[in-house]
Amino acid sequence: MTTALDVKYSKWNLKSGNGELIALITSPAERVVENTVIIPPGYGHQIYHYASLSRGLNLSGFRTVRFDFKNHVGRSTGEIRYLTMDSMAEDIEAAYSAVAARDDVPPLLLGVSLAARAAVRCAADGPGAGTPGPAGLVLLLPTVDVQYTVDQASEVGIVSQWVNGEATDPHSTCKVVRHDVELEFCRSAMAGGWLGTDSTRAEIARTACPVVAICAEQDDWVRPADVESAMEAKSSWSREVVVIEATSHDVFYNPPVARLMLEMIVNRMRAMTGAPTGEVRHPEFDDVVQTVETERRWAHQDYADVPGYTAAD
Amino acid sequence: MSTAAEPRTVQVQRVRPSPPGSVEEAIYSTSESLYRSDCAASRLRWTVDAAAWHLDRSAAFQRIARARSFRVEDLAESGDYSSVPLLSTGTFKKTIIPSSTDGGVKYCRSSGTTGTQSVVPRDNETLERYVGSIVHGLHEFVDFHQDRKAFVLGPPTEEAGDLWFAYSISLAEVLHDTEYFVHGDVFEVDRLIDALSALGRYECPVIVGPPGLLLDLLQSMEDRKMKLELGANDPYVLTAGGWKRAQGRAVSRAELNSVAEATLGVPGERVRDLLNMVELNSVIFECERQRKHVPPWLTVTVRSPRDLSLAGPGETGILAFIDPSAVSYPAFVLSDDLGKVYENPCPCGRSGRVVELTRRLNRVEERGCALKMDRYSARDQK
Repeated sequence: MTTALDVKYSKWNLKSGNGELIALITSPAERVVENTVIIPPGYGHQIYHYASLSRGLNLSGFRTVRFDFKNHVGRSTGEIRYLTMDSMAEDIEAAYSAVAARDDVPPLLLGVSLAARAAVRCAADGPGAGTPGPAGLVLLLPTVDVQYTVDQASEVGIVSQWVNGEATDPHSTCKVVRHDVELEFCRSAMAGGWLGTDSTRAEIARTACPVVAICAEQDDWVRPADVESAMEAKSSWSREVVVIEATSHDVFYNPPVARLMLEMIVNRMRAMTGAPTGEVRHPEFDDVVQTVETERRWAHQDYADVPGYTAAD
Repeated sequence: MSTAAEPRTVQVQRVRPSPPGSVEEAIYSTSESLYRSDCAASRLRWTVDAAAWHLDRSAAFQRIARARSFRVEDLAESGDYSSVPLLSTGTFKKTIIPSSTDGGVKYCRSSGTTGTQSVVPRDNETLERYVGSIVHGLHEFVDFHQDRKAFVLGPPTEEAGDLWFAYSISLAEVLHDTEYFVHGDVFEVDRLIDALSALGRYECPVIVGPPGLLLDLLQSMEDRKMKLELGANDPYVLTAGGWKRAQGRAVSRAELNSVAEATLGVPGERVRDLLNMVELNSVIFECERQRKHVPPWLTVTVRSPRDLSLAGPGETGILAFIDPSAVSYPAFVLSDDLGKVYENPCPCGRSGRVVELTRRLNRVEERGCALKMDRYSARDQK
């Protein structure tokens, strides 16, 4: 069985203009580096929640960059109370630009759940002049209607309450999956054009790269029909929706689903980057256990044992 | 590399990670409770499939099946579980019984408190499904979410080695942020008390360990006249593994619940005992009424100590487990435990079967039937 303990991770703290920090972890590919995959975390998740997915991508030749959102859980600046869709998009853009400036080939974006919606906007708007756009965009269990998803996750329909004028104080808070979030999230999401599937469809339509959306048939937070609708605009670039049957939004610890997703992600990304598709290496049980345990322990110690990023990595 | 071309429409495809209706799909299903539906027909199919799998791959299982004139076709038709071949725990102590699969295996060992250790070979898929059974039970009985914090009264994975119980509870770190409180065989009770005392308002603890160490924790706190109020933190206490060497100072379940409530502030109904053994690949969880619910895929029967015939509901006998979740060994186990199985719905509202452990088999005459079972597998070694 392989071991994950000798993997040469590196950490990398990005500073935004006002001095806020975004904590990133780079995990090198075990074989030939094809492209870097940037993985912004889903709501309530942090770097280590994607340890086994990252490990699988590494084994199949992709370097990964994961980070914690600002104003969220994890090691970046700010509390989740102040989360907004705009801040998520800013962080993805910052991470993307930093990786694109470092790499010789355009990175890929892998957005999960709520972060997938923010990743769509980044891919649609593109980075600044002189920086290539992503080689491809993979959306995993993607939120395509922020209002629907956050209504479901808050159990009280908080975004709808805001839209209908039943909630009006942006500094009051609402519980969204065990975390208190200010209603500024709702205000700024409405003002920023994040609500509904129409805006998502328009942004996907103008995204200049292949897009694959992988959704779950029994997802209580994301309706597969909405994902298909958001992806349906004709494009010169390939658009593909995969619906995983008999599966919910909660894919945490579901090895058959994890393997299927990894195979789909790896081969779609290989196609996006012009690499041959084919065999996908899966981490073995011991490897997953060691990787997850190691990364959880690193996080508890603020990644003190993980060396800083160097250009040689 | 993909490039822009003529406008195209979206391609949609549907995929399924596991065969429809398979035991794998049941284990990893968390979207609706299988404990509230009748799974008898599915369970029979899973048992038939598992028996066929192991008959193809395990010489020891084949030998016992032949001796009992067992055929999977007959089981599929009759649904008569009394015909299913069983391997006694004594057999697992004498020999390793693999069902040949691809790839490596982990040799999992029992604690061996009564002498010889059982050794069970588990491959990746079997280990994954074991953790899957834990996650399934946590979803059903313990309000599982990833934000819980686990306090393990046991060693970390690297110290647990192949010892099944220690390894099992060390796997908490796959699911939760976890701290371990046994290092170098020393229970660090002071550090545990400090860690529990430092819990934040929104941190949800799950304390996992053998009842003996839990009692050590509670008594240490009582000695210091300490009392925590964890009730508002959505806490759970999960015990497993039995009292074993701590049997001499074992307290009743009611007393353990009561002391946990008085000392930790954890309501007694949130103290749950889990049942597993190295030969079994699924974990049996207690509900809020503290009754042990058999997972939908697992068959538990009670056998007469005299002739191993099936005992009726509520009768005491030797517990036998047929666990189709294991692929790298036949988890068709005649245990060393006496107990009962109830078929009536539990007051918690779940249907299915509830198992109750009475005590270990300890008299020679009680073990007689199990020893007879061993003779079949002993021949395999010659």
